[in-house]
Amino acid sequence: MSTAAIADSHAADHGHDDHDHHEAGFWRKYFFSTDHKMIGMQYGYTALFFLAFGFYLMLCMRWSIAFPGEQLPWYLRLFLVDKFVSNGVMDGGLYNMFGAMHGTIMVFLGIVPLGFAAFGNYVTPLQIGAIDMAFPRLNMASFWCFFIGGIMMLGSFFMPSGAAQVGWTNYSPLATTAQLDYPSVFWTGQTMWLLSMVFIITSSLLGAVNFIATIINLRAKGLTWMRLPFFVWAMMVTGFLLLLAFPPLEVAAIMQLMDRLAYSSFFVPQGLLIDGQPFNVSGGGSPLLYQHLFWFLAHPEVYVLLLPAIAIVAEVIPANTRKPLWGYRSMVYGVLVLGFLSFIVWAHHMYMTGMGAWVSAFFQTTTVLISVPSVILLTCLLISLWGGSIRFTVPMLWATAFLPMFGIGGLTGLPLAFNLIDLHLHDTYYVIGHFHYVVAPGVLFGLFAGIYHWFPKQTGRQMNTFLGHLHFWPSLVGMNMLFAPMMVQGIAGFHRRWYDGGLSFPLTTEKPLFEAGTFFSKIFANGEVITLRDLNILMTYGAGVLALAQIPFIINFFGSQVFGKKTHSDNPWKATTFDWATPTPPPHGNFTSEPVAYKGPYEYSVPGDSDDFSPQWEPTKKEDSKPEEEPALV
Amino acid sequence: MADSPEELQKHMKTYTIVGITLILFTFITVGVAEFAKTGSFALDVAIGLLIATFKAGLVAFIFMHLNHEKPMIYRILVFTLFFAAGGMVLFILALKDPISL
Amino acid sequence: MEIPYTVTARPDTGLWNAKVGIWLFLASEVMLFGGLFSSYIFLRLGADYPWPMHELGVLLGFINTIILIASSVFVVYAWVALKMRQWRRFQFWMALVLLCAGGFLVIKSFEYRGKFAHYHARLSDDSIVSGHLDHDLGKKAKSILFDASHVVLNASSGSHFFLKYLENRDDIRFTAGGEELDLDRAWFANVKDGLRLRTKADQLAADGKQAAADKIYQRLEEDYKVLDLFDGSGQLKVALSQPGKFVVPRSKVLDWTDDTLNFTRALSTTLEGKLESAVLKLEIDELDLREYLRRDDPRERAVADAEIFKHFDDEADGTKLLADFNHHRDPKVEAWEEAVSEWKAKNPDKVYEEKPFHDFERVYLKDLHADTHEGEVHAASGGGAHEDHPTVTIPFEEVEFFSNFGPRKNPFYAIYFTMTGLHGLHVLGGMLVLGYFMVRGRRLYLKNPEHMANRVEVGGLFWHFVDLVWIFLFPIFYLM
Repeated sequence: MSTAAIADSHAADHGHDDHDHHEAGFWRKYFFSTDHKMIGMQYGYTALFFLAFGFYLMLCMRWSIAFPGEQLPWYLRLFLVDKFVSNGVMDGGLYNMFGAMHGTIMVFLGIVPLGFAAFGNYVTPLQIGAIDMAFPRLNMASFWCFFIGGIMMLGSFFMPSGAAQVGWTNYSPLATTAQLDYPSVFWTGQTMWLLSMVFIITSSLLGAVNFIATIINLRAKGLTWMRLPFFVWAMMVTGFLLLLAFPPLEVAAIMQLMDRLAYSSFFVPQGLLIDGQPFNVSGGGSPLLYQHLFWFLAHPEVYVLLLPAIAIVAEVIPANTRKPLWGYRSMVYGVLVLGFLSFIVWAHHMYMTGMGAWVSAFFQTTTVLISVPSVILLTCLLISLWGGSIRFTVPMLWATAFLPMFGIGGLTGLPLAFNLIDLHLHDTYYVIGHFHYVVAPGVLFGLFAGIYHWFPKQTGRQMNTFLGHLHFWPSLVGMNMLFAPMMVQGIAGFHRRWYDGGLSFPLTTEKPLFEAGTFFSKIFANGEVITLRDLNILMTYGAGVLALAQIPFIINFFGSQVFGKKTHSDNPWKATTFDWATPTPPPHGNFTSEPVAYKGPYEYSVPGDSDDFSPQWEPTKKEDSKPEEEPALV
Repeated sequence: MADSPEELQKHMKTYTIVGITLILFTFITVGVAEFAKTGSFALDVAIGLLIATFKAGLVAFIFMHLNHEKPMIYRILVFTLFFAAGGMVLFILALKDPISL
Repeated sequence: MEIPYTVTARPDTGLWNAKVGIWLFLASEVMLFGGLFSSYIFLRLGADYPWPMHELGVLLGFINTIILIASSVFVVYAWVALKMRQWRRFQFWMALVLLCAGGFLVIKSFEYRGKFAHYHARLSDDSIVSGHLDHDLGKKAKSILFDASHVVLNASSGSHFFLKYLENRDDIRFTAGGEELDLDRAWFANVKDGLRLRTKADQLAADGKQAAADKIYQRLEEDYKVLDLFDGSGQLKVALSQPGKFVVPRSKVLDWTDDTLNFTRALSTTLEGKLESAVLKLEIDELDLREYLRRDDPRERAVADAEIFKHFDDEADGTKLLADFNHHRDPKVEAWEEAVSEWKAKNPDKVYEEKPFHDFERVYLKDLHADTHEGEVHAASGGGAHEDHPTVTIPFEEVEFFSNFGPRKNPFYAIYFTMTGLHGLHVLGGMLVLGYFMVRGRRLYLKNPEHMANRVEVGGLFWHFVDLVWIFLFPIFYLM
């Protein structure tokens, strides 16, 4: 079957869009491509790079926490560190810089591009049976905006001031007044952070418009709303979150830019002193305004991180349990409610600002409410395992591990929803632990599942299973070594911004965890007392394990593209959704014939069927039921 | 939407009338604000915003054809307006909380 | 291979792609401007200073509103023309739209210019005065003038930026240690490279790697001799061949005495020599004593004691103004003040919580123009000497804060510039897109006129949205 021939034959009636360039040159094919699959891969590779870089920043920080005042080991000093500290010992300023950039890079340049942009771009059009996104050139513009933003963010490390230093939240007035002591305020990391955020936000907005328009208008014939795979639903909700939540952050970024470059006072209160000197602006603004604008985005952003992962898991689980996704409808409605509620919970990040009782009561209520749809999603996935004939393929391993890990992350969030408890836990390692359980073992595991799951479609080769296991098991151990102790420390009152791991706060941090002579102290500390602060070392080793565990993945990921076992079918997992109906790898234009959907997305083990899966694109075999061809109304 | 020349001519007329109405209300809003203050600041603001909303409504419904748009567009806009308005209300509530320090 | 539904609508949703796209984009724009309007409300309700009302010239804003409404009408005319397949008429209406948009931006730029040329200063006792810079002095009226004989440079944080403020740069040679120095960007970069190398070498030496350190020391000796000029604390005093006439904006100066001037830490340079003058010279057009009186809780300050009256160049001007104040005092204000003091006398142990910025406090805001907005128009038209305006000369020590009527003045002006600026960018963007349709659209029109009409509809939707935003911007900034 020749894709091009079929496609060209019916292209005549509106032959205006110069979209068909089958013999695209090298640049058009790999760099300025408008093909959603290539753009997805561009996003994917860039995001993986940023994830690795953010991970490196974290390793430096963890080293400084576990071994304060000691020189970083040579492999962490290979680049970047020497620019800032000549003796190779992390100081507070550098820790702040790395911390701020770790958060920013992981969230905005790592996870979101990988989950939403890379998987979304690659998989969504395939799953809805479209030949491409609705606006291919917009798609390319979106990637390049993102890329420029990323480069600016990285470049800020090499400015005289270094990169931004005031946390990924970039709270004013600290962010407004930081790094003003440079001849040009424009060329400081703090300003670059804002500028590059403007680019990244623009990229996300363009992407979101594109995704939603594609899903609304380019679904294949017969693919009605309730026949959409859950992944597509999640992408649509994610798209809306980005579309409606990002603009307020853009506002905040623009206003902070004004504060820094035009000396306005949006976020600067009256009478601010910097180093004892009055800050020479008019004042009269409100730091709280920044927090409102920021968290109006940043809470939905958490779901932007989460939904693609949960959606990938929802694709991997049915394919590997050979039974339909349990509660598909509840999940769809759940994700819609989740998206809706996520817009009105933001101020639970701001309980410490002394908000009034009404607002606080409102946000506590909505925050508790939002756990209901989250639990619905998780429970449905859990029940989907029940009674399935599970194949523990590598993607399934990750997907299965996702469930408890994300469960821990979600459940530890519940206490933080309540004002009174949050006052105690706010800004401690408990919050870090909670958030990272959601995002690192939760979301990342989901994304890894996705990589292993769709790798055969993209390359026509399988990833190596042994290396996959070698990647998975140490990662699971390392993640828990790294994040579980944070909960313990956090409840004990460890503040999240101690660059020396609490060395200067012995009253809190040197409380014994295991008294001298007890079982664990004999094993790990020659019978001496193990304090809470000693957990830092355990966590840092956990991070090390995690780092080593990624080596098999890198080998596997690149190696399998060349040496991997070839897949013999276009549908190696015997899955049911449209992404597996295309040739492997999918050509430009994706489908060889016009795809038509005849049934729901997860028809596995249909009673009476000869196969244990029944793809969406195959007409129902029963004689009396007429295959539905007309696209049903919305 | 009907595309016949007669229909379009009729549209042209509507657009002209709406345009004139908009300009008229611009005069009114300036007149009210500059020369016919009610004495109550809140009332002045309410009147000003009411006129602005009416004008914006004319633009949205006539010029932007929201008077006969497809359900999908309405759905998108309803949620958008809800979140924009909700954000605004919550911002104000956070600032003017009846029970606060 | 074609992406479907680019021209015709998809049957079940009834929409073509770009229509979905533009409405989604507009939804995000609603959130963008929604966020800005929310911020406006937040800043206004939370303001602890008198929110500026009726400070912007209504006339220009009013004209702009009319212009935008007209352009909105023309856009739909243009779209109808395309629908009726009349290309020339489409181009005609589109040209009118662009004309309107251009006019809008020109008027806007006049408004901006007027504000950037208009200054205000808050004195140490919170009396506020506004006006234009002394016409003859221009920029010098807001700068500190300093005749420098020496410049003290800082090795680690110095830069060549301070030379920007040297008026007679071409006539001056810099010397230090008998050497002539070419103080440019490269020179400072060289110094910093040298410093970095030296730190590295010191670190190596401390780590016991003497050989490697010596190698760098060697290199320092050869290529970075300039470092030797700096003293132990990393400073270098450079002599000027003749007095350097520095004109430094107040905002770039940290502090000064009669014989030294410190630039801000960003520039980290010190001048030595003789202070010429450090005064702000304004031709004033407004006097605002509201803050002066409000900050003074028991209300014991007298208007006549306000600092500003000491700084009039012609004392008679001040006396006349003061007399004006006393003459025009509103009986309502006096009644109110009496009531307040009575209440306080009755309730000595309670705190009197007045409504902030009571409307009739405006009596303490003295506008020196017969016509409120003459100042802006005046500045916008390029300015000319204010024969009739009183002038003040205020030493910078007395000035607590001063700026032009730009974003720096207060959050009102900040959000005014941000919102109208963003709106202006939208106008500009819309102009580009619609202009492209008008000039380059013919090819597509001949090929597929319906597609062209769709494009114009999409561009038009954006344009109407921009108009719609302005419909709200106009009253909230200009009228209320």
